[in-house]
Amino acid sequence: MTEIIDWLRRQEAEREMNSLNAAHKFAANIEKHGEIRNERPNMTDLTIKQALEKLRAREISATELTRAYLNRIEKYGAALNCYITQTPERALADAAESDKRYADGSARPLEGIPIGMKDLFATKGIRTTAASKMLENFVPEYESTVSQKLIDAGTVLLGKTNLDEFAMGTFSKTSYFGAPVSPYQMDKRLTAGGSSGGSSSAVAGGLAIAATGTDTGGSIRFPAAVTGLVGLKPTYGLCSRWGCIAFASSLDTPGPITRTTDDCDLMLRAMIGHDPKDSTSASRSTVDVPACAGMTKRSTKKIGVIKEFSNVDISADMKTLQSLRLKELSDLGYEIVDVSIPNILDALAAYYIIAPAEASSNLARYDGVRYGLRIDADNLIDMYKQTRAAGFGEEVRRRMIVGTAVLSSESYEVYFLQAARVRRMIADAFARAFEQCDLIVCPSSAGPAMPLDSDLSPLEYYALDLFTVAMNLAGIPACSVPCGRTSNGLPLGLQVLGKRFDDFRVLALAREIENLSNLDNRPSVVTRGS
Amino acid sequence: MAFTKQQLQKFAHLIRIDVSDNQLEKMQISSIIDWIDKLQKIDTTGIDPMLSPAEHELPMRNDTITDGNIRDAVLANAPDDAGKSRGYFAVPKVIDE
Repeated sequence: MTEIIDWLRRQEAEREMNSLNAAHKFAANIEKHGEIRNERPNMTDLTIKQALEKLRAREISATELTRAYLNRIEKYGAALNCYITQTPERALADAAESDKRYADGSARPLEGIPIGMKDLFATKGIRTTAASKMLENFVPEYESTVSQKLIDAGTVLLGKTNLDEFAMGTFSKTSYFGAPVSPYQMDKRLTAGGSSGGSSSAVAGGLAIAATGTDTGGSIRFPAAVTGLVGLKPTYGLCSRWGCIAFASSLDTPGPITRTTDDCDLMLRAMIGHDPKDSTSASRSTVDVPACAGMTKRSTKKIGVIKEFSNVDISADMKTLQSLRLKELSDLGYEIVDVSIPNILDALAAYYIIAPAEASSNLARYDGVRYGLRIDADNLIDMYKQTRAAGFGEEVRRRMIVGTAVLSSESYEVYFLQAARVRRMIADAFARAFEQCDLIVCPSSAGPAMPLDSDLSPLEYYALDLFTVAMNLAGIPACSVPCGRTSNGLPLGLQVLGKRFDDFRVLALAREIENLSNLDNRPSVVTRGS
Repeated sequence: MAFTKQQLQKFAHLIRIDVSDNQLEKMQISSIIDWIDKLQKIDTTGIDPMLSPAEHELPMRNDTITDGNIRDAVLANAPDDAGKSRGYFAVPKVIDE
């Protein structure tokens, strides 16, 4: 009997010793690589393209890759606040399915690629909040078209990424769940941009290999630009809006946020396509991928530069980088020409009439009756009024009141229709500009990411959208691509704009700028200085 | 075109948002209206308003039933459990006895 007890004690001591050794190894590992459980160091540095090569060659498994991301989320998720809802069980189940498919030869185009989904896309059985208290507990019974397409392409869902409430904002600060943080110089608590700030924070920090965003007035491009990523606002109608919680329906455009243009291309192919459930979806023939993708860089000769933007006050770094990249493109043989979009500086005011007008109408559905928050009251009208006062944050309420004002009978002609006419003038001016050049290059923003605690007035926030809103009004594709860094190390982006449905051509020129900039945006490098 | 506090309160009421005069003040709506006023100066004579970039003719679908018989799914997120358990949405009483 005593022998047995002694043996048990020895076993216990040995286990303790082993776990102590393990703890030491673990600590040494963290010291060495700054990474938890990194059997394969920096797996989260792989791009989609690289990961697919390794997955196809069976050098890594989808489960391994997914676990690397889940570890990274465990490590940085709280600090970056980039996910509203994490879905680790779902991710591991998706990854297991992917591994099965790699084993039996039925792998799909993005098989085993772990992504984040902006929490504006309805995901069946997974809470979808639009970062609003109104939808804090909303669990959709259906799947959005874009997220379904990404499921069908074989992606692994890591979670739902943070955003501005109903995508209304520029810093993702209007989120009911608090703002996501940029992984760049984390101690400074810089914005990851907005509204798709959770997606940009996650991808830049290595908490997702890529993510979805939506862009109503710059909500993909601005976050991508300030976090050193590629963000594409596709042509309006290329990606279905069905199941994507509506903000301004004539402007809302789903698209990808990735680390490279190659990854952007891969994500875009999975996301586009005609959808009978979205009446504004482009027709089947227009979104034929091989036809669109046939546009190579050789088809681009002339690059336009918008004259009216040259008088806008932008940071010295942005100015220098823009000139440098244009000079290099000209050295590569592209012809740089001036083009004019006469009313482009008025796009901002037109946008801040049209977007709130559409929002005030779209958000009428949140009435406390069928789903979402309800604040009980004695009568129906008070129930509506109190529910909507409690459920919507200040920026959403502000835009809804502005939107109602510009649609009211006394001002519909003066504001709303006038803005819609200016919109037509801008769209027509772009069409004329594209007769003189193939693509246009312009800044994505005036400067780099600002601290989250910047105290700006509503109009100062709106002004940050100056370089991005016109493309939504016109419905044309626009891609923000990293073009360099400021003197203090923060990323900046340039946009490439094209004609409607020239999305792949836009990506081809963005790839040239990417090569010229040659930025290292691997997550391990981005978070090292933090 | 400036809006009075009463007008803004009327708009808030129309979209069923309870807001105090104080909160309304804080929203700086007048400064936004002042700013968008600059569009008035643009000559848009003869320009058709553009309401969407998708200016194709709206497609018609076949007049067939493709949906339905999903009562429980429709009710799944209803905020009032008492109504939901009976198979409908419940709201505060709207008709006097």
